[in-house]
Amino acid sequence: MPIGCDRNVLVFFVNGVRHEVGGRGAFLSLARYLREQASLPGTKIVCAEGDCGACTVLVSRLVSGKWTPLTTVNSCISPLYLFDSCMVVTVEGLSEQSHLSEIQDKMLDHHGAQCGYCTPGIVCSLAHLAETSQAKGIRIDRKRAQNYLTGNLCRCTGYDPILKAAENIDLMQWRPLGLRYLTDERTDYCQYLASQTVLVTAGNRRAWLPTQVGQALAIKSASPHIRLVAGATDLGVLHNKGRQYLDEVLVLNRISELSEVRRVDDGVIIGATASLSEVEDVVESSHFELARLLRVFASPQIKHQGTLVGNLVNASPIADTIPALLVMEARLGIKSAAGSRWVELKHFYQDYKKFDLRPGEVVTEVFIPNLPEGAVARFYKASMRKDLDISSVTFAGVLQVKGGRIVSAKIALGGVGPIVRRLPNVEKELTGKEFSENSLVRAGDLAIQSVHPIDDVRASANYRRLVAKNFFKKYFVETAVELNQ
Amino acid sequence: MSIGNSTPHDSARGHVTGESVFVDDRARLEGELYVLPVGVPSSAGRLIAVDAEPALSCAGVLGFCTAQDLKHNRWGSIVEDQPILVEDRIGYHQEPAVLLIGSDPEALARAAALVKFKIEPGSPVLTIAQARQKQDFLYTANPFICGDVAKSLAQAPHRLAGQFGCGAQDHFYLESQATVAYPLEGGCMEIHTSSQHPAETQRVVAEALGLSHHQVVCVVKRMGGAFGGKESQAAPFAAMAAIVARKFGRPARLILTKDDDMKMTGKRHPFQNDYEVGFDEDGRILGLKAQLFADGGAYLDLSPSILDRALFHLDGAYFLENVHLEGFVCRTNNPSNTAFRGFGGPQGTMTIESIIEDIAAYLGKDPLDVRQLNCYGIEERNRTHYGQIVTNNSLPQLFRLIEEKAAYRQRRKKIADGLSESAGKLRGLSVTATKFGIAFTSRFLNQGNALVNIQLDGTVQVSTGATEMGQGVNTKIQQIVAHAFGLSPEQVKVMATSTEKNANVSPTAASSGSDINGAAALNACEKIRQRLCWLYQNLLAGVPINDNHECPSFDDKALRRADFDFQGNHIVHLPSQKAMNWGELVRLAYRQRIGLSDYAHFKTEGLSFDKTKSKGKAFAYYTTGVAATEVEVDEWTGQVKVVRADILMDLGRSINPGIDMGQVTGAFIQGMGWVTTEAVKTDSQGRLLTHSPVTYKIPNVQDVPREFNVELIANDSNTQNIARSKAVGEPPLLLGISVWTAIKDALNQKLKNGPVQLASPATPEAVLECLSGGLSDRA
Repeated sequence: MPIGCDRNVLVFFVNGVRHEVGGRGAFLSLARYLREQASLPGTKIVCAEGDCGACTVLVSRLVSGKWTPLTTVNSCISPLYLFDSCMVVTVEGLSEQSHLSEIQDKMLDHHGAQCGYCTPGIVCSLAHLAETSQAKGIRIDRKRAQNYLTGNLCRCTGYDPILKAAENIDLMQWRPLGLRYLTDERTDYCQYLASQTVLVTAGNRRAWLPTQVGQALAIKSASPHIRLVAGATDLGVLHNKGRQYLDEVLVLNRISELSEVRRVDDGVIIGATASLSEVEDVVESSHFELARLLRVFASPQIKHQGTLVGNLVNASPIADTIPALLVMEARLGIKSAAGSRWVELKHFYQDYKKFDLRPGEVVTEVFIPNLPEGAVARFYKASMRKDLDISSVTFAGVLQVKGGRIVSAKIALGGVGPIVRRLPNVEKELTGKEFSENSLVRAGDLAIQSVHPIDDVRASANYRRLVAKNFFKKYFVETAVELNQ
Repeated sequence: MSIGNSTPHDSARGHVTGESVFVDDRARLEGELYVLPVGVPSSAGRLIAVDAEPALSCAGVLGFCTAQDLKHNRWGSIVEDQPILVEDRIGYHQEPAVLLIGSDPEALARAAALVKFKIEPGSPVLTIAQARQKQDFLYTANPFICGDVAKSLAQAPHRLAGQFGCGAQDHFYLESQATVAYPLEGGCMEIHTSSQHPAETQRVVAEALGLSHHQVVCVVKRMGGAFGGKESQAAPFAAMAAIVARKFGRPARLILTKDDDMKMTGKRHPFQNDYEVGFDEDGRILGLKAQLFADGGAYLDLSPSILDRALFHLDGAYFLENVHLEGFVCRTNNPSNTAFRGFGGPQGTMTIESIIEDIAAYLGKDPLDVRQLNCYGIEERNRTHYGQIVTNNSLPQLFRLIEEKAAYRQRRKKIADGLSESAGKLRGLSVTATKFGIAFTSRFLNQGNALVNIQLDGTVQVSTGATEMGQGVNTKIQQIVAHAFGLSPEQVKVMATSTEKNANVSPTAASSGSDINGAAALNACEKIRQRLCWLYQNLLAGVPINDNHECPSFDDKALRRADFDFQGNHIVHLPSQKAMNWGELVRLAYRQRIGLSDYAHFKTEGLSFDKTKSKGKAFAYYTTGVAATEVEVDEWTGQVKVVRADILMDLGRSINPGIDMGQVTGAFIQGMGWVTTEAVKTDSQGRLLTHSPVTYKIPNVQDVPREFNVELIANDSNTQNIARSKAVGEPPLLLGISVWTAIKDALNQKLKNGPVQLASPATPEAVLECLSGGLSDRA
């Protein structure tokens, strides 16, 4: 073992049982490991890209010595090395001997399973629903159940029987999974595991699991081409689909200082490995519109594992958070073995997947300033399906109005060019103008003249232009009352 | 009483615990091989050569197979026109040509990129329009002619002509095509597969391997969804696994990835239908002339039967007096399109529902009035365009009930007054109907079979030709058999479907699984019951049974059916009110050498359709239903939200209302997906662009109507089917069409410019295109 490395196998728990995996097995997805090597084939693989939820399992990890609540993740896109020192609970771990849990009982009573292939994933999402609702003392209604099931596709039932099952869950009958699995004895042991730096190798594959930022920066500086992995919600897909194999990786999710999310006077600072769901919780009060965007952004499974910084540095032209963060004037915190710096997000993107980022540098956090007093933000997306669909067009606008005049305007569009960008000419055009439908419509016209969308599988260029234009009008209609006050 | 209860699905417990075993969940055996089919990177032309040698250099890759490894390289349900592996002419993009074999699926995926194809390119035909231009048809239907269309159109006060188009739909069963093949002694082969048609899979495997049918056993425990996609198209993939198992003498596992499944298998047939309709001032249809063009894909598959069913269902729920219908299956370079829940019925019915919507918009009438005016009558106006009388017709009642239950008129008024709308949102409301003919239109398929074995502890194992794909056929059969013997459902187990136990097996399709196999199971039970009654009668009479003592049949005076009942775990002799415990009776029967097992066959009676004339009784009965759907259309993005849907179904006397309700909600949402977000897109070279859920959007839990009311109406009149029930699998899918007509309604009301031209699926883009009068002009 190289110096500074404490262990060369992964150690974690599945349904309370200790598993130790080294070599090639460590590079399997969690789903494949469960199915092929752990004799737990209840977890299914369907799309292998985190879009259908058939592979959903529950995971808890230690943060500052405490177990996080068990939350759902897509095990098909998650390499096993993401789960070192974690507790994994699969569908097989929900019932106790022959005794079904409350949610399983209700699924039976309400005919919530037909072919059964999506069912293990559905049941795990329902377990998460029951677990959280009980902990927070919230009654399960249809809307709440829908929100927990957004990441689970079912082709048989039309969802209605599943929702009926969910609405009828009696939380008094739910025995918390934590009581069974997150025991003190395991806490101490996993705490010890989590403090160890791990390096697993197999042939030309290599996975580094450091625990300190300094270690990570040293590894990155020694191997600039190594892939950084936090939640792997995008990289796991690329790997599964053979577009980019994850053979050499630097796993960041065990570095506790990178997972911090904290409020400061003038905004929030979000660490590189903070999950989107943690971000959603924190910005609920300070950046309500961003929280609202995150609600339709992705499935719970993806949000539990995917990170905001990951979405920003993946830099897709249709990334949902980028337009919002651009108009909120977010800044990225960047570190390397040599030092650290901040860069404005709008300067970070140079061209399609080209950034202001040098080899050896790592984006460690993002700062989102509070909105200026009186500014009103709206973030829109158009997609084939409302929820859990990649956008064809995104829009973000922040306007400040005084005495009926626009005093400042920040507008960004996505899906209409190779990168998401602010539209300075449109912002300039709007500034000083009367806040009226007419001004916004004219801004929309100008905006679509300055972008160059393409036809692709999601939408035609014409559709994108038309919707982008409509979003300006929508912004006016939706904010007129608020901004004219 | 087991029939009529909402017994939970017989696999539900295993499903919610993860214990249910699907094909890919079978334990991996020592030495087992993975098989990866690799498709040709071209949609037309000829395959000159394949070089798979470079792939062998990858660790974990052990070999490959090509067409040369097959003894017989043709399959097809109706005509054997399709290769299992391409050997010359290329039918479609990604058509399987090479099988890579190895010990790890990821290694195979990495190696697939190294397979080299030498191809003589051809120019692909990718659309119905292109095929029509070339007049390249795989099948031309016998026309359906009724009355005098020319005259009725000429005399009609109003006429509309137009084209209606609907798109393809991927099955998106969650479990992709899956087979594990186990080589057995004597060159035999055992196939565990996810197939709706084990008998055809057995045949295709045997022929591909050059075996006799009796050397191949095909077993289907369950499918993780199928929806028609595993009726014909499971077979070639099973053959691919089998050929590898045979070549290497090791078990071989072929599980398609979702992407490969979507690229390599056929979909619901897109249709382009031209029509001319004549009608009077009130909207009464006087004559309809239509030509249907279906995209059959590269090979025939089941397309003729699917086109026929579209022609049968072009009437929807409406009486058409004068009709001239023609139909053509176009040959294109798409994967061979295939069965999909509804089987042409949705494409036919949607055409007439669209036409009615247009008639109403043209006349400025409420579309529901036009529908009720044209709805099949009870005593008159009740003959279909193929001459079958619609008996026990519940459609007029269903229309009346839905109007009331859904508060249609009040909501219509509210929408018209603009009271339902908020800024940027439009509302639309529509009622459509389903009248689905139950029977395979290929007469020979209307047969079922069942084997019933009573064990010595009194529990029962049943094996039928039906396959379980989630629809609950096993549960219904379990209930039928439990009912027959007076047992509780837990005492009856429905076993895996296997060609070893069942003969005369039809595919589990056409919504018929429970009808025909449930009836066969009941026949088998009846044969056993007869012997047990005879035994008990003799026992009560103190007559010892000896070997020369033949069991009389039930209708015989010596043994009266009405004297006996099986209930509460007992046989009851009604005249004497004496009873005996079931388990005791079974053990006694065994000691008396009375058979505790029987096999029975069932065939649907009374079908008399004459294909050459397109006339006669094509269906045993109809399953009917209606839906009222309200949508909200976002004017800025074209996105659609279903605000409320009310469904009423006539399922006769339901065997299991809980399971049937699940079929209705599931079918409706699947139909909704077909007409809204499920757009199958290919590029100009025929490459499928929508090959995973990232780009192909089936409905999500958030897409369920905000208010969703589903009810079954009481109807005891269906004596045509087992336990007076009705088939349920496909009929409610057609109600999803109401989402599309509601969108059309919203657009018609907004634009007030006569009938809008809206294609299906009504994607946000298609909707916005309608609203903006063509995207390119305005943007």
